[in-house]
Amino acid sequence: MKLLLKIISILAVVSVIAISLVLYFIYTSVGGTLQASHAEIQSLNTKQSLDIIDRILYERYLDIQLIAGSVPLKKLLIGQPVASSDVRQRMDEFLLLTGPWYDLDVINNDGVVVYSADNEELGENISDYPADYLAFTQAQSGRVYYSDLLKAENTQKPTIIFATPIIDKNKIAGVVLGRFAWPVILDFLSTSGFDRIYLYNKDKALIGSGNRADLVNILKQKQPVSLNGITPDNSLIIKEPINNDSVEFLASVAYSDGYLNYLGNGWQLVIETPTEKIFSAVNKVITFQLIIILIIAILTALSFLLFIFYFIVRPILTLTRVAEAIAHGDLTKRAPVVSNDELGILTGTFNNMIDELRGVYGKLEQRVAEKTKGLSEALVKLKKNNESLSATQKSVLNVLEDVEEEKRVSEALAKDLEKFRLAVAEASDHIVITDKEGIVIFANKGVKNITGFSNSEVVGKKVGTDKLWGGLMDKKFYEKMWHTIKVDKKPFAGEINNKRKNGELYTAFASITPILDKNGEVEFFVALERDITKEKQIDKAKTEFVSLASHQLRTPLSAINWYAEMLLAGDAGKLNAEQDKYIKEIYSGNQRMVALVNALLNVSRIELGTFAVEPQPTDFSVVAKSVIGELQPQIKKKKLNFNFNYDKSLPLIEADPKLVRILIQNLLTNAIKYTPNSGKISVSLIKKDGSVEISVADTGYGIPEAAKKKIFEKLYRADNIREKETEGTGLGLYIVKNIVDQAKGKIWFESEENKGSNFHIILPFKGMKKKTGSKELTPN
Amino acid sequence: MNEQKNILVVEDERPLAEAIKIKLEKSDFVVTTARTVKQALQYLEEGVKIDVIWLDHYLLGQENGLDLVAKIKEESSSWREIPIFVVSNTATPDKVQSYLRLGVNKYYTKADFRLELIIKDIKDFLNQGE
Repeated sequence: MKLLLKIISILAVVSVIAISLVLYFIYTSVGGTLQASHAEIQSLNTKQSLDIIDRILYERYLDIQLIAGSVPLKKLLIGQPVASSDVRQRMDEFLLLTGPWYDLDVINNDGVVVYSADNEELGENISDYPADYLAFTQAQSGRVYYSDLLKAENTQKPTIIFATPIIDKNKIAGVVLGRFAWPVILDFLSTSGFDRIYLYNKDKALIGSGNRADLVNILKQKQPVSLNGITPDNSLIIKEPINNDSVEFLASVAYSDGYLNYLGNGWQLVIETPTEKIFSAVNKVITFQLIIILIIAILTALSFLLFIFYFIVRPILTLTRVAEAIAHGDLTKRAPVVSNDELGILTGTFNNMIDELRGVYGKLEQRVAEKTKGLSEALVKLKKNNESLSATQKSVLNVLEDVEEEKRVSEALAKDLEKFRLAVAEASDHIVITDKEGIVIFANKGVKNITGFSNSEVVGKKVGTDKLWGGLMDKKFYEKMWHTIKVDKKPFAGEINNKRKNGELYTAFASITPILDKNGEVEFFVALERDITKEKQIDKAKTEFVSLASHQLRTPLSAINWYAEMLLAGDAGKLNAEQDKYIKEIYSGNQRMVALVNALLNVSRIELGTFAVEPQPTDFSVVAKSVIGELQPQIKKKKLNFNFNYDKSLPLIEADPKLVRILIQNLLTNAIKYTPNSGKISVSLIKKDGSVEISVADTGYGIPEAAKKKIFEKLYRADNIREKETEGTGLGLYIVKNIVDQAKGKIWFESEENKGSNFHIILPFKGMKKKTGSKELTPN
Repeated sequence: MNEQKNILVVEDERPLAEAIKIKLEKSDFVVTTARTVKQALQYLEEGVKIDVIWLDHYLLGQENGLDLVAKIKEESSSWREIPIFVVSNTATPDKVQSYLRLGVNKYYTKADFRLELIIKDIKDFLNQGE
């Protein structure tokens, strides 16, 4: 049945796509046609409507001329006697039969209103009203004048002014002026049958609408920008915002070019229909067609399915049942051949195959029977052989006793191995064995305790990646590590920052050893790691304590310094010789204390790794001269023979001048301190290949042989000088050595007791790398 | 010629403040001392004319010397132009940098400089401005 299901689903998908395509086609073609025909009708309607408006206005154009021909008016204007009731009667007739007009005025050549239908303007001068005055002057020039739509100057009602000259005996006797009642046009628009019909003047201002509510917008609202560019021949789909919604309309436009002599004002009429309204007709058509298409599609699909089921699926199902029976060993079943197509051939071939299979099976049974016979004969032979074998067995047993002995030994070994395995497994350190690619094959309990990853999470994964605890060090570190153990095949040891399963960071001391096979190829790696996070924290806390304590120490030292300074300066009165001497002792003792605290601070910064290195192009000779200048008083006091040489070609070197200063200062202070009066000291700066050598030589007490190894150790002072000179912290050379190491330089010395010492430092030009630390080292 | 200059010493350690005061007065300064940022600001607000400020980093109370400098150097502050000399024992480069960035004139490590020398620097600076 699965086959049937597949066919049904394919059929369903195909018919859905086909129906959708057909519908889409119908929708677009019907919709397009409908829209086009609607556009055509609407376009025609627009033209006809505008035509009617033009004709209404043309009639007013004629009306005003008719009025101008009235004899009583002419008489009134040229001053011939005429009864005012005659004039009024005539004008009332005009008001009734033409127009409709809001008002009709007769104006003499002086611009004075001599007759007004509503009497209100009688006697006024027309020049007070610019629009009326324009109409008056235009008419006086002999032509029939009409304005665009405007607001009447006295009533503010929308109107069109028509004016024409009144001619008597080829002379202009005056002007008749009529104000057309605009609501006539608005009535026409609102009864046109279009919801959205708009009249715009040539400035694109709204002057009429089918919707009475738009009256307030007359001459205020502008035509929508979307209508720009539309011509009478095309209709346009535009979008207009209505109640915060963008609604689509089909818009048609017609331009006025007047009627006969009346040439119009270049107005345009727009009719709009919501496209939704047009397409609602399409939707009705589509719904009907959809139902029919669906019924046809379902009927077709059903008959197709029936066909497939009878002629393809059913034979295959039968064939499947037979095949299942054969698989279970029943070779008697056959599938009926119902057609002569490919399926029929397949069934026939299948039946032939079963026949052949049956034949082969029969032969096989026969051959097995034959073989079994041969076997029973062989069995008799075997029994005989067995007897001789049991004889051999005895002798073998003897041998086995020896083997037993060996087994005991190997069991003992295995026990040892088991003990060893237990020791490793239970060890608190993290022990991992990996294959040569770094894939873990064994991890002890320590791994779980330290990293949090269980045995099953670890085994089979690669170490040193972020899948486990590793991956935090930079790429170079891991590259170097793998190179050491895999290529150099040497053990690797170092501190690694790792991450526990819960995300916590820790520091481990790792030692990784490659295990090589007989050919010297790497077989395994054994990695031992110890969590040293706590040790590191304690170490840091210790150093931080020293740093903080040193800061606190400086405050009282400053107080002693400054008060001693004031006493010595005589600020508290002049001191006698003895007082002066004592205070000087206090002062210099305190100075030593300050130097010691500074040195301790430097040591703590070095050990914390927080000291900053800020390299800049540095002239070593300038730094050296400054140090020498500072120490000049001591040199003079001891009457030392002092000598300073430096290579003039020494370039500016990228180095932190503060650190360079500390180097020279320490070496030179030592030389001065440990050289007896009248001794000799020489300082030199020599340019070497890509580096500079600083040398400080003295003819002082020298370093005893036994002390040479320890001279750079922290707080170490050699015995001979401890007896001779009490000053000194045992920190100077330790600090110097650390700075030199940091700058990838070298320091060494030659020395002989009571003859002198010669210290050398080599600094490579580019050794000092920028290091942002929170602290910097301070000179003593 | 050299009229007396007013200096505000902000230092919380009483003995040190005392020594600074004595030495400054000997050098012809009129000295006002404060132990907290609040006190120092109070003096400034009272309108006492201050020509120069001597400032320690760690002070009594929650606020330290950096807070005071930040307030004095504010855009709207009328004391922006007063020169400030920081004399402290906490000479970490980040703090020194912070002070200098805020516009402090000079930074001294207390234990490493004699009073006389610091006062001479201040005097030279003030005279140079005249």
